[in-house]
Amino acid sequence: MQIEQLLRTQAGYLAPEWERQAANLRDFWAEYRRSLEDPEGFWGEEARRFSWFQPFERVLEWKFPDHRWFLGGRTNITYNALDRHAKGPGRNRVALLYLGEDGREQKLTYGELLDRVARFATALRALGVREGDRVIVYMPLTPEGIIAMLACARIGAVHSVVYAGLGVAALRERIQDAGARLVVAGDVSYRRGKPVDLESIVLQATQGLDVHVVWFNRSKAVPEGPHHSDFNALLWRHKPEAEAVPLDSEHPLFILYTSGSTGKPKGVVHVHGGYMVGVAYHLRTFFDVKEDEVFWATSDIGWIVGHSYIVYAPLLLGVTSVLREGAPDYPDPSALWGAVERYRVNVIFTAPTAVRMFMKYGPEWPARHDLSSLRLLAVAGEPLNPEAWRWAYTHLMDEGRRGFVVDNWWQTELGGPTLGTPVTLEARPGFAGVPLPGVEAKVVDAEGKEVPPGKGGLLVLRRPFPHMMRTIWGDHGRYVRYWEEVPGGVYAAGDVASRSEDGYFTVLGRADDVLNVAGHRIGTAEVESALVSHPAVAEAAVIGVPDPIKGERIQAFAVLRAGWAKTPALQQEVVQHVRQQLGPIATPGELVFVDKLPKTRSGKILRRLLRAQALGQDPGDLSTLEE
Amino acid sequence: MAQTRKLTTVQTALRVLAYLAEHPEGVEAARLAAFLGKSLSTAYALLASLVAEGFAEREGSLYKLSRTALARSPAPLVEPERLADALEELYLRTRERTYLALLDREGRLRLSTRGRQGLPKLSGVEEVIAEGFHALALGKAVLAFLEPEVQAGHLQNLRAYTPLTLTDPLTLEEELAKVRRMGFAVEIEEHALGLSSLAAPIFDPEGRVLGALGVVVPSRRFPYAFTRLVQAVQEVAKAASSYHPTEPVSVGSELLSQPLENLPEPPPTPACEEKAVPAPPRLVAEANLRDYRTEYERSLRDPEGFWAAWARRFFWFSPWKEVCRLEPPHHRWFVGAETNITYNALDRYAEGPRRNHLALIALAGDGAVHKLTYRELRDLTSRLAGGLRALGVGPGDRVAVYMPTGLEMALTFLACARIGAVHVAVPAGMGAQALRERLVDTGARLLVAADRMYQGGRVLPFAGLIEEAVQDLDLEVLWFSRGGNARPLEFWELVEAHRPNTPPLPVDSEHPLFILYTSGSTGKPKGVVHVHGGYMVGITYHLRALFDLKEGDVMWATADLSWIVGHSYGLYAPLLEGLTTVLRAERLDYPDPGSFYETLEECGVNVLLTSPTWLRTFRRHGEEWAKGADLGALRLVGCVGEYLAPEVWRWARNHLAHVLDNWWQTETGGPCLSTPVCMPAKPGKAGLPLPGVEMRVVDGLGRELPPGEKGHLVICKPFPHFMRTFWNDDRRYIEQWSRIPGCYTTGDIAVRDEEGYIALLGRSDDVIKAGELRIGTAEIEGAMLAHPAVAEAAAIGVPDPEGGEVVKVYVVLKTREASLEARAILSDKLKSHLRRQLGSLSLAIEVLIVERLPRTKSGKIMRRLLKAQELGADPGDLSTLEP
Repeated sequence: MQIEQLLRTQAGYLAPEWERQAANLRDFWAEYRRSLEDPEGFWGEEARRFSWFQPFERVLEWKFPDHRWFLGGRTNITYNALDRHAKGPGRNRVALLYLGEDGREQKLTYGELLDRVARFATALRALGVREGDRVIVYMPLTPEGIIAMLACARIGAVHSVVYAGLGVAALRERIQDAGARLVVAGDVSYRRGKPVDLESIVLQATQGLDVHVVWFNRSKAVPEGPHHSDFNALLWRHKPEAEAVPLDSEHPLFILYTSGSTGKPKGVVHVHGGYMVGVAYHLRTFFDVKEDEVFWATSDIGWIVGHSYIVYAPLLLGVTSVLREGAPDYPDPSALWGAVERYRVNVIFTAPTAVRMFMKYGPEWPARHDLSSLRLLAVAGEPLNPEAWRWAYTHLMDEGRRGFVVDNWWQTELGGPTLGTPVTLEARPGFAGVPLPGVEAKVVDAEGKEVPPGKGGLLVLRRPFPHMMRTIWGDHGRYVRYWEEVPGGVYAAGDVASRSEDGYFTVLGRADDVLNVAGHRIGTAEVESALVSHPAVAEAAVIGVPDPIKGERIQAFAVLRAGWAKTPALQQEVVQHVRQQLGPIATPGELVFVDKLPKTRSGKILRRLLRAQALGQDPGDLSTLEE
Repeated sequence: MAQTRKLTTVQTALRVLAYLAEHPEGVEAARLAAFLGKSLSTAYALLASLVAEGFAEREGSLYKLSRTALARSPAPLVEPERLADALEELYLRTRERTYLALLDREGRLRLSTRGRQGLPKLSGVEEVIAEGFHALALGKAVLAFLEPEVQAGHLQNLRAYTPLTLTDPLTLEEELAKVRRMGFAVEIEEHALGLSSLAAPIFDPEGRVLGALGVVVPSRRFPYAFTRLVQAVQEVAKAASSYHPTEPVSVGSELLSQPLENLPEPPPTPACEEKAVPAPPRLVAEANLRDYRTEYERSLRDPEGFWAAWARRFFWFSPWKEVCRLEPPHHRWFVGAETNITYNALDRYAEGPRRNHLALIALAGDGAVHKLTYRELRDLTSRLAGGLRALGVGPGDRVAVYMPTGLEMALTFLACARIGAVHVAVPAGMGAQALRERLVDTGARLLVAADRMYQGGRVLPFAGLIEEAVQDLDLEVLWFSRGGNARPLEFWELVEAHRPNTPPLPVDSEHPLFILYTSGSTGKPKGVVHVHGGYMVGITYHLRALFDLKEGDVMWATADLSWIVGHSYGLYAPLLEGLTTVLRAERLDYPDPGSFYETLEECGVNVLLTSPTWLRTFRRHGEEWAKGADLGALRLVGCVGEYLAPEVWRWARNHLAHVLDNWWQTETGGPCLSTPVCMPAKPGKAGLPLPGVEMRVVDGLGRELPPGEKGHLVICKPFPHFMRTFWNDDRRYIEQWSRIPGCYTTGDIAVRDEEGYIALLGRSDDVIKAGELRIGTAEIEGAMLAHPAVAEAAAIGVPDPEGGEVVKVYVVLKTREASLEARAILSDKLKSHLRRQLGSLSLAIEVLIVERLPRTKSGKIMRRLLKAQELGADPGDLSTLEP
């Protein structure tokens, strides 16, 4: 018995028999082989599950490094996400289930959501928004935020959601980069029982810009004016007339900004056709969601996970998608589990940082609730450490009797899960999993040569798939660099990974100066420039140090200008300044004032040394250090 | 302002003319002054100016209408070659600003004008709008002569009134109707203080209206210039027309009593026989029931096969041995089978693909919105059912429910049904004595009660009333408290304290589901008993076949949940069919009438089931409230509760959706008469007997009467959802089947037409015997509602000294404020209107204008109370009276 247990541990874990039997994708390997042998047949078949105003003529056009999918086809993602369900027997199925920290709930059926979206789309048109125009959505996690997104997509406008935790500089930069003339913004978001002011951030970020703001007001009533409208007044003033506009498969659906190593965020562009086909495919096959189930992605609409798995994929499949505003451990650490019990959530998709947080609170909190409906917990965003995996398996999935825990890895650029552990395969804690259908992944060295199993290297993808980004907004050269960074015509993910003998990948961390804080990618350069924008700071450097909950936390070093004293008050002020500029997630956990920063002779800041010092590690080769 | 401005000079002049016409014998100035409510000198001044203008003549102290004033022009007008000439001609003859309005293809009026330089000066009115509203009288003149169907198309462009109209439009309309009857084919409109206009229509050779010619004058000159202007406008317009609808009739007293049809009749008045109106073609094509006749015949030929086929859509824990066992007058259905209505209404869906579909949208009176999926509703019901069991409630026990419509009430019904207990809803607001009577009559074990209710911006406290009602009774009260004042046994605490693990109890098909006391329009309340099996089968059949609900539909029955309509179509039937139902606690017109349309729009209601009262109310509030709303989802409007007048039917059809009038009672559980969408509807008639329901119009001996003859409406055979008995009073049930041999007496008087459509004429105790005439109150009320000024009407018979009855009609006017003298005139007018409509000129009628009518909570007019007030008699049980 003991030996068997040990063997099982070594060999990994299996989902319960009933779950594997009931899986939407039973024979993973056959599917995987087919997806690589005949990608056009494979994705073409998936695409035909949807409604096309005009059928596509060709599945793929691959002119390195550009790829286009479903050529000649015309569709609209919102027709497939809304009209298809709302105009049939699925009209009264709950599409969105919104929960507030205070227990407030709001449900919108497919019929209602379509109605609201069509009204808001009509309103956007009335405000002058046309096909291809960019609209910034700076909204709390509410149905209204989703309505704004879908309304844009419905009329062919391009939404660019900015996470409502980002600060003034980040928002302003995105408005300008996208060239948006309209911002849909909330006045507050609610977190830990308190309103968080968004209004002043928006007002500062739009100062002097020619933008119209549609306010979703919850803290107060604001009369409408020439440059601002009220979300609800605007919506109800218009009739649900706007139909889904037939758009080319390659028509841009959204721009979502992600951090890079150079400081300037990159606007990742996804399109109607391919994105729709890909994200829905993985919800069905990887997340294994069934038609009548309740799916909960605990992310935010400000991130790619929210785009794909709060909004688009669940609606495309016609299931019920849960969104909860606020902190998952507020008002108490079982808040999330109470909601799982009450709404009988079947599949949860969350981040390792959340699992580690629940681990910290202890198993007694989930034990208070009837979690019998929960049968799958999927985790992505950063590496999930084996302890956290096992804790979730033991305490949330009742030692695997209730269901299963699956890890997966992807990025904003990739739109949907890329590496992952399907429910029918065994799970190896610490490993994200295998390449999913459509994905050909390798671990290579800097020359593009595949490294042997067990060795670390760069994670690359050898071919595109439909839901992979098309370009970087306004900077196609930067898109091309993804494919040229590593020789061999591969897409470099920017992560370091290693592969086991039998093809399981483990992702170790970023290869560049990008931090991963609680699953959010933050460029060190971004934080550094925010620091130096404070008048007291002459020079700054930022590193990531391991954090038991968040995975990584930001530690900042700053050199003050002459005449400024190193006081705790100034420390506070500088941290507040960064918070105001970039938002709470990019706020340094710690700020140290130093006299000088270690630099290489060429003048580059040696973050490695700072990191080693901070962690008390061996700094390694310091030969290049400036004397 | 409204009171003093009501009758301006122009209108006063018109009224004087009309009054003179009504009194050919002559009128003294003093009498006129009294009639007008003005000083004697004003009356003299008016009369003098009318005489001076040749419109009236004086004989001693009496004033009469001048006959010469209305004589034809001695020199017939030379027919103008073009309409422009007519405009010029009119200008030359009147020397006032004249207008020609021609209708274009889109229904807009194109204006041309001739006059002295510049526009007439308008006091108090912005210059910008001046041009537009000159069309008013012109527009009205055109509108009045358009065919009704065509008119509808033009209405969006042509409006009869503007906000600028200072006079009460209806009063003005009244006066105009008289003037028209005197032969002036004119329309008049006072745009603003100091400006009036006058117009007449122009026709093409086929008799279609082309446009109108008119003139605008300052009001102060208007009474004096009136005769001249009327003649000029009329003659020129007549000459310009190539067709003359009707020769003007010379004025005479006999004219006023002539039927309106013979006159150039502008406002369409309803004919006695309504034209059948088919449902919109798409509805007919997609109807669930496409062949009514075949289905109906099949249902009567083989009722057992018919109902059994439908019953198979439900889950039965054990099958029936016999579909129906008749032991007249008793009947049992699905004999030997076991089921539970909540298994079929909840668990079936909560465990299937519809688990995340909305079952219920509950809009509470305090503004809270609850939306529950089937899964959630099942879980909450199961929790509460566990709670009720813990309180000792067992199968067969009665549980009284005294709550406002809402989630808690729905849960209570379902939880009772789940454990086989019998719910007894008592309408919230009913008095302590009535509640106590019902608690005692049913021997209730538990009372589930709300401590308050929010309605119309008020809080109605119930706690004191409930404590009074339950005093010394051996029963517990489960409180739903909302005042922050928690009581020992709280509804939500009980729900939270139990796990959702109480399964539905399999009960016999004939196990009682609920007792519902009928509204007291017929005396002592009776507890109607309905059962799990047959009720479930019957009401769902009609949901699909009559109300035509489809998958994914939202249904809204506006009735209170404590009424049969609420039980059947607010709760059970939509849930049994896996659809979404809307429950709304608040009055439909609170905080304003727009609220009703908002609910329709926001919930995406496909089928509305409401009452004539509400439709009349919304008609009275006007369609402006509906304008902003998008009612694209609304397909059908069912209407039940009392007589639905054709005007109201048409209004609802034009502004909401196709209307299904239907007739049923608490006793019948579901609709009995109506017009399925595949058949053309006849406004004013309840409709055809529905499949499974055999109904006849019979005489006192049970003999079927030929079409057109009034008689008693009876049900020939019971059907599955027909009541089983009266609680504790089976004798009364048997009696109801024996009053007329072999059939169940509904207590209503009806008449059937050749095609089988049945019209309800009122309760049999609501029939008035006036002289030779037997008239149903509904008939009188319908005729009264045909008058444009009437919003609501209630008729009763009052004994007269000669032993017959006098018809007394209580009328609520559409316009809220009307001066006493206006009311006096109007009630006279209504009298003659009613006589004409009923075709009996000698009928003794009294008309009383009142502010509101007493109604039962379900919206039925309490004629019994009106009658009791009239006779000083004891009104009997008033517990169901609306507060």
